[in-house]
Amino acid sequence: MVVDRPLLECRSLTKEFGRGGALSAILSGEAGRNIVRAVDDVSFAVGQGEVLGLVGGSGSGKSTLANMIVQLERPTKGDIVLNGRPTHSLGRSERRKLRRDVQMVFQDPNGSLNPRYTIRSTLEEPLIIHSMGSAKQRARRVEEALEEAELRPASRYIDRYPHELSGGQRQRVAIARAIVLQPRLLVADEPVSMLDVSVRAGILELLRKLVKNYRMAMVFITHDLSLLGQVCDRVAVLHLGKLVEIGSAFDVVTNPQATYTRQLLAAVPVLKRR
Amino acid sequence: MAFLEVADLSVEYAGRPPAVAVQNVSFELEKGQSLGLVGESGCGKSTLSMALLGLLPNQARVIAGSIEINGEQHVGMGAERARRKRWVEVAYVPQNASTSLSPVNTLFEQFRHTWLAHRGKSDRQLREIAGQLFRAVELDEEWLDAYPHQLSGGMRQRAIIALSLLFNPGLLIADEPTTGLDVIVQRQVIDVLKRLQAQGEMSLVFVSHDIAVVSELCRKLAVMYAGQIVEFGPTADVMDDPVHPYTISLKQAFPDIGRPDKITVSIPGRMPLPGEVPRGCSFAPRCPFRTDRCIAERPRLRPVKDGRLTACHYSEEAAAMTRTIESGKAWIAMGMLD
Repeated sequence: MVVDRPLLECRSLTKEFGRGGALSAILSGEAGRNIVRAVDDVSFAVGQGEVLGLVGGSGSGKSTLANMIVQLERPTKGDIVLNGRPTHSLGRSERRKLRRDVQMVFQDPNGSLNPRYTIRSTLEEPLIIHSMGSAKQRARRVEEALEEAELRPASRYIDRYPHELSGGQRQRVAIARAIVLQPRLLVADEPVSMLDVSVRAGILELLRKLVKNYRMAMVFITHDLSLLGQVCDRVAVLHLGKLVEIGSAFDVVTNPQATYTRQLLAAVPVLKRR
Repeated sequence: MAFLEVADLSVEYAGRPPAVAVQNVSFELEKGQSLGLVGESGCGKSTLSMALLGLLPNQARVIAGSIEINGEQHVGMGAERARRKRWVEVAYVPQNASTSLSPVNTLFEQFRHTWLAHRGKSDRQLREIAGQLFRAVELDEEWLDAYPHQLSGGMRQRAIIALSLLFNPGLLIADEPTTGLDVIVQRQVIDVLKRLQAQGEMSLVFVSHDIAVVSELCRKLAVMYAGQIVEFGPTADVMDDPVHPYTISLKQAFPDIGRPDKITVSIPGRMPLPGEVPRGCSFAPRCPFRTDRCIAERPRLRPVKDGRLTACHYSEEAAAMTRTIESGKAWIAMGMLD
């Protein structure tokens, strides 16, 4: 995969969380000692049309990193550069615009879709929030997004509620909602781990196709290493907040360099053969 | 005689019309052996394991068949007798250790409560027994005095396994015990279960959607679909050359860490819910090889080769079906994929 101009750059990103009451820490003179560094000096870049996998065990910092990329957390140190623009200096309204360009697909569509919204309202809401188009244009865009997420024909799904759809279809709705604003970057946090194995491949293929066809970029977070080869161009391995290895997905899976990557790979259950 | 014998078991959920969640399921499990139950959500694997434990919810009931454990019939057994047997003879490891342990009691207190529920009086040796069990699952004995929230997810899951072994049960039913754990923690849990299995005393029914985990742990494999067992056999044989089109498709849908370039393919459509299972083969609506016969006539589970059972009319042609599915073209011909 040729990486042209990076769409997303993380430069020496660090996120620290204070543990326990901050005031009591200051009073007892322990301020600064009870700090957890969830993400520690992490740098990488993702190009247009590229999928970067983020792997690591629980507590490795993958979700904190994702939250910083989608601007839900502010880095303690370092910077996130999107489309060549550093994000730390942005004002409120610019940050709002930037949110349009960065969308997230969550792990569990049962939790991330409002059960009382029809699919139409679910997809229209982001368009309304960002004051995009007339009612008619919005309606057209909602249908387009559903079809892009392979929920075809859109009319079959648009007036239903999430509980009327299967798990795989619900995750497709969540993906449609993420792309309805035509973002530049998708952050997908374990998007198939709650789904049945028989439908996972289709969702992964869809995400990959969307990234390629629309020249987006994707950060794909997973703890399931067996998915990496199918979805990702490159893979970054996190351990205790630090980036321990980054390379092409095939190389990382077949020829891991870091000890931690080797441990992760050795722990993956394998299909036994005779 | 096998330690666990399930014959023609059917379980129904009340409703209008009632929904059959487990239909005519039969299998045997020898003492010390392990059986993996795999299938998608809603296939009936959890209902089946709840039936084995005698813990079906109120709206569900066994409508036919029998469950014999260690020579004793468990279907129709009175509630009090079933309670006394549960955990002593048949123990359970649930998926979610965090919500299965009491947050307001230390782990040792939970050992003590379990002990009292079955033995009636405390025992000075309990501390020692609990300590041994903790060591068996590689937990330091001092964690017995901790509260569940003080443990990590993997430690909690191992603590539950230790608790399930309290009365040295003949049968352990583990329902997705590693789902949601990260790979390294999952590995610890698998290794603990493997070691317990190696001692050869306890039979294990391991319920999972992850065929790789099952293939590491279980000698035998039952693939469930829409309430029925559709394929059964030694795990490695079934995984090497599955004979039911559902198993073949499931294998193709499953990523393989040893083959990062493998093309995985989803199975189009979805499993019928209880209550909407078609008259013929339940997999026929999604099956790229279905014929008129499949739609008209439900295939019975039948022997196909050594120790292998299948519920497909055409399993003799499995090699050709496998080639078509592996080519990735199976569903395109049917117009089910674009």
